Amino acid sequence: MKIDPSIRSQMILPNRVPSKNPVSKTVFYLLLSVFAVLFAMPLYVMIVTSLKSMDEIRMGHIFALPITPSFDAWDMAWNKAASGFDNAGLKSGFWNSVIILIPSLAMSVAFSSVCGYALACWNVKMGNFLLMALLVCAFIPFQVIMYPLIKMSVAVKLYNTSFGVSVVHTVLALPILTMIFKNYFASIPEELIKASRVDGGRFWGTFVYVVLPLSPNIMIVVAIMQITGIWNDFLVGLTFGNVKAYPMTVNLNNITQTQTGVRVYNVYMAAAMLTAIPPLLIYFFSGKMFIRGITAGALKG
Amino acid sequence: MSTVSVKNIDKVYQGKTHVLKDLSLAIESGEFLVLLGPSGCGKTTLLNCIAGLLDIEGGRIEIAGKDVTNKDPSDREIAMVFQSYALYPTKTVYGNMAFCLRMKKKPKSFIDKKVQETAELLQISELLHRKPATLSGGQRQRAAIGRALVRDAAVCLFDEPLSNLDAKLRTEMRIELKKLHNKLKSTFIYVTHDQVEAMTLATRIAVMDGGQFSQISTPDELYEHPANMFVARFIGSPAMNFVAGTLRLDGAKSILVTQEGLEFDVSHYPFVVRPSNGHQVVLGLRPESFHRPTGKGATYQLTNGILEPLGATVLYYCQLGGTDVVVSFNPSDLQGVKTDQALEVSIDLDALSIFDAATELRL
Ligand SMILES: Nc1ncnc2c1ncn2[C@@H]1O[C@H](COP(=O)(O)OP(=O)(O)OP(=O)(O)O)[C@@H](O)[C@H]1O
Ligand SMILES: [Mg+2]
Repeated sequence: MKIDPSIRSQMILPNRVPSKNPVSKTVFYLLLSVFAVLFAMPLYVMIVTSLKSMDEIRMGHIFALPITPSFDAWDMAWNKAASGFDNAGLKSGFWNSVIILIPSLAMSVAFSSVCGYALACWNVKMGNFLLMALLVCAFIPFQVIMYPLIKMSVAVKLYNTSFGVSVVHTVLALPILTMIFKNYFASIPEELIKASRVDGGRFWGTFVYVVLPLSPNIMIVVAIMQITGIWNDFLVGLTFGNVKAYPMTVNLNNITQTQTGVRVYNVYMAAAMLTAIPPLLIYFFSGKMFIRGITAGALKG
Repeated sequence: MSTVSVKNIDKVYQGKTHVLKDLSLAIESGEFLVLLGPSGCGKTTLLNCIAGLLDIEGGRIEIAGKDVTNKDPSDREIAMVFQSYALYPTKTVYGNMAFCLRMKKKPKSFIDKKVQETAELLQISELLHRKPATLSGGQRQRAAIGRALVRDAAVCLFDEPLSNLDAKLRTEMRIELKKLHNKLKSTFIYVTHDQVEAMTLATRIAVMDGGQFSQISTPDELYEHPANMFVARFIGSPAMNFVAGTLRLDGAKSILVTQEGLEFDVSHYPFVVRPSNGHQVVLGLRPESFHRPTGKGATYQLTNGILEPLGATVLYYCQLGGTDVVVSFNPSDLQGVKTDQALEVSIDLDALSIFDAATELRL
């Protein structure tokens, strides 16, 4: 991302290079390289292993490049591996995950943004009390409320359904997302909200036409949090999900844990990579979506 | 009919900061009422209460004869220009101005016509497609006024719209606002802490101090007959000079004697309340009420003077019988004057004000 030097000086960002001193510069880059290698190493091993045949893997050179790279293991993982209900690889799990992800993403963002907006921009009776309650809720571990949640979801007939998983994800995310939205909306100049109220934008008009256009950045942050969180979830999907339609992470676990006979590492690696690709893509492209200085010009010079 | 009437309103923030105290104010249709007062006296708060952006703890508010105390801002037939402009940063100037009409579900052709008309009036037609971030301070301010005027509201509220502009632009905009008001004939309520703005724009000024009105009057009346020392200090630049003294009533004659023994014949002063003999008072003298001696009447000595030429006038910082005063002269009056000598002047006795030293109210 290119940053205008004049903006950079106003931002509390460290300079790209810490000092002009060549020694500390060398140390700086050396450390950076070491960390980069440390983080990239497992990824490298996964990729090369997934491209090798089992014979090659048995030779034990885990860092060596594949002699005859092939995507057979990827095909196996996606289409054929014993992943659970239908033993047809990860692809059904992928779509199950998508089916779980989309409603829970939509519901959690919709509900929490409206709650945060109400708490930040309007006089809500007992608003501070509600906020405290949310703060407490945000720190209750899932395992503590898992059993009552199961009971409740059975009662409303959501247990053992993909939509039930979406609802649980939504409920679990609401406290923290509401607080994130509330803090962001509270930073919008108060007079903008007042101007909108005078202009005839009531609760919803102000939200849709004034507040939301100012919020793409926070929406992206929350969407990234939710997409990666829900996609990587294992426990909620396993406990609440439909046995016939488990999410991808559960399928992945089935492939790597329950197979008898030969341990096909290349297929495991390919399956893990396939499962991790969606969040990785989100991380790579999200940086480009942020908009700088969105409230510029609202207030006087 | 677009009268505004504020009756005995109270505003208490968070149950403890009592900002507006039993305020009442009646504004006629088509008036240009200026709320004038020092920072923090509650001007913005009062404006927000009239707009309906703040709930009030007591009293009632009527606009055009209708009780709007519990109505939403959008149901009050008002428009408002905010202290910070508060332009919608993601919308163009056109979008900013069209927003309130869109919220009222007006037809597109009507919106377009209104926006174009208003933009022309404010000379911002060529800025309509620009975002606020790309505008200068003065242009933003016009856009904010445009957004308020586009809906033909009965009452327009302005919260210090000119406070961030440079002096020249401020003067220009002041004149344009006045023209605009003459043309539109809607009721303007305008907040400022700049007394020049207040004096030049207002048909009436409400001077506020600590959440109460000190005086509500025409600019001339405020200048000539300030109701108390706060108003006297606040209106006029340089500010009114104060000299402490006592009243000596002697039959038909009333003489004001200062602590240093200077005597002012105030027999013709229109006392509001009849003072008693020996009443402790403060004499208020406008810097403009001093003249070079004309031959008749008493004269006084100004000593220890320092000159400050301002072009059209000259300010003379000096002492009148031991009290520091500022006097404003025509430059021609001071030709040949040496500052190390005492300067003899006469004082316009019709233009003075007398206040009770204890209550600070006009006598
Ligand atoms: N939200 C609030 N909560 C508590 N006190 C407030 C709040 N808003 C304003 N006040 C207080 O009310 C008083 C009046 O504020 P207000 O903004 O009306 O002043 P003002 O006359 O507009 O001043 P200025 O000329 O500086 O704009 C101030 O003492 C301020 O501290
Ligand atoms: Mg103010």
